Amino acid sequence: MYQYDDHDQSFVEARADEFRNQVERRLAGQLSEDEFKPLRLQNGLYLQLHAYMLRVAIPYGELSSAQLRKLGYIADTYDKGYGHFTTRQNIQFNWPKLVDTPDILDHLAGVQMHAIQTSGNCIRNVTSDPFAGVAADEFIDPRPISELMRQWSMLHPEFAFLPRKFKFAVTGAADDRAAIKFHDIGIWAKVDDAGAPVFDVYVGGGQGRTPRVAKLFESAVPLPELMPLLDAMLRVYNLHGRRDNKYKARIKILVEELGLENYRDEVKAEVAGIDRAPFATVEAEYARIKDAFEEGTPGMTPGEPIDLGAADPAFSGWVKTNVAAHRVPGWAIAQISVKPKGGIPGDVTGEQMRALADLADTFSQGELRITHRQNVVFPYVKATDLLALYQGLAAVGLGEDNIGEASDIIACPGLDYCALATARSIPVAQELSSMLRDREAKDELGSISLNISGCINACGHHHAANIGILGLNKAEKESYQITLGGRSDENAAVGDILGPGFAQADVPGAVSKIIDTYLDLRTSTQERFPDTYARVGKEPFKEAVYVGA
Amino acid sequence: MAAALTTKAILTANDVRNGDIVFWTADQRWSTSIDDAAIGYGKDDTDQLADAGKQAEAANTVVGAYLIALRPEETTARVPVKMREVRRLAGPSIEFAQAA
Ligand code: SF4
Repeated sequence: MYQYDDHDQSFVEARADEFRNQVERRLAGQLSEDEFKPLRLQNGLYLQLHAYMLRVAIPYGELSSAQLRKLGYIADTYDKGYGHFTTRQNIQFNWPKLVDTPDILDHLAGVQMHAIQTSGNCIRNVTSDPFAGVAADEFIDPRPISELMRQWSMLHPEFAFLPRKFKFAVTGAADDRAAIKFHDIGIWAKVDDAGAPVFDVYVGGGQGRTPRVAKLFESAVPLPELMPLLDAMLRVYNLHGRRDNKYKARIKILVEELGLENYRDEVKAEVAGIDRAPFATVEAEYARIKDAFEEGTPGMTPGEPIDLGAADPAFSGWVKTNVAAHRVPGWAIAQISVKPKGGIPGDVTGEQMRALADLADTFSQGELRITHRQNVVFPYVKATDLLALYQGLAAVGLGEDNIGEASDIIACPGLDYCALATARSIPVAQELSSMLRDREAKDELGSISLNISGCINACGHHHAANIGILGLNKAEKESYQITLGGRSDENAAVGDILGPGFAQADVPGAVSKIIDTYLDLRTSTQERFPDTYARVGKEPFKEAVYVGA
Repeated sequence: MAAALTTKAILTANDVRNGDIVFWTADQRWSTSIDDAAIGYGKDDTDQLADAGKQAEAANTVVGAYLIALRPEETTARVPVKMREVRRLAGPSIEFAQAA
């Protein structure tokens, strides 16, 4: 993986020192909350429903075992013994004290981490494919361009106060596992006939109260043109974005109001006049970063696949759901579900973080990834080590075999933590997980995405789920609206609202009926939920849930 | 800082240093127990509470001070009108989050 150079390291250390000084001034009463708030937000420190919350960046979801061990230490020393993996591949701590945050940032800097730009109207953490660099269906490793974009966007003086937050996602594979079409700008990295990197650029995607699937802005942009283009796209947005109305301030609204063609024309005019000098080093820098990733990639001698013929059924079941194809024969990508039956999506204890770090050292060359589905990936596992890894995971309660299944639920923190929430997400996720695990043991449900958000901001990606659940406040009672047919892959779509909302207690019953309807109507076990939904439409589901009630 | 409420309310905020939820008490201090919270009845009382919140924010002892409207039916019970406040007072509905 990428290692900081001296410049990166001194930058994060200086930033931690700066924040220590700001916190000292706040505690001494020299800074009011109005003065301090923008400073703390620029370092990922929120004030939530119960306490401060610190969001730590995990660039493109990639972590070393040493970093995860440090996160476990922070969870145990400065928090209540756990952290929460987010849908943007970051981690949140829910209970840090302001007085402790300078020490926490020092600890993070010590392992090449920080919390910069995890909040505020700036370019946020760049997210990517959790299988980056190892996926069997990959055209090109998306991490070098993601890292280059991280460095470009870090404290970029023009883009520190955008009309609204700005999210990039990058993939480099045939299957989009990074949900690029639900981002402000999504980048699909490919290679041209000569083997050089080129990038399809999508713009104007997003969720929230106005969900939109991004539109293709330009295809096959060569590397030297990409960074000037992104700069120009941001500049035009910065100039015209609706600062007067935060609900209309995202780029998706600008693109819609201007029209894609007009937006494109403005961007092209901006690119034509852009000063190229700052981009003169892009190709050399990309090459340096790419080399750094390659140096950090372990040598992988091709080997034999494992034979599951006589394997223990629990292990072969886990391999079937949790192991993905690796680009090197005889190697495997192991996905670790942190969604046990009745568990809290994304929550991991300090003890589990240490156990995962130890297992990553033994079985994945000390490297792991956090996924936007709030799970963990080991990218470098020898097929012959899978059984030992599975046994190690099962011993610490992390052997759940439900990746990609309905019980692999995405849920945001909701009204259990979030100051913006209108309803709780977590208890709903826990009840659904219990119900769905029981059903998965009996029926072959196949792969279904089920996502829950605690308000219209949609951090739980409910719009992009096959079955989406949105928690609302109806006359001071929690009410849950269900959407069907959303998907976040290369055929991205926004789910349709099924009908009136449900009380919390009625959500599992409604979801169960939706699943029954799918099982009745699918043409075979191969027909996935969104395909059945696309074929039969909303009505049969509506009838099952509302008329049959 | 929310506008003063005219019915029945208590004053809450978060402690600047540690983020704990705190309530303004009748003896002019902040307590982590809602049972200690001074209840304001009517406009004059709640205006006074709102002022106490502004002063404490200006003194940088608390952050995010605001009034929580309480159900008026009972004169002494501290039951918020809004679901958000009920949930905030109850804490996360997760066992291990409440430990430690
Ligand atoms: S979706 Fe709403 S409730 Fe959930 S984390 Fe985002 S802002 Fe908070």
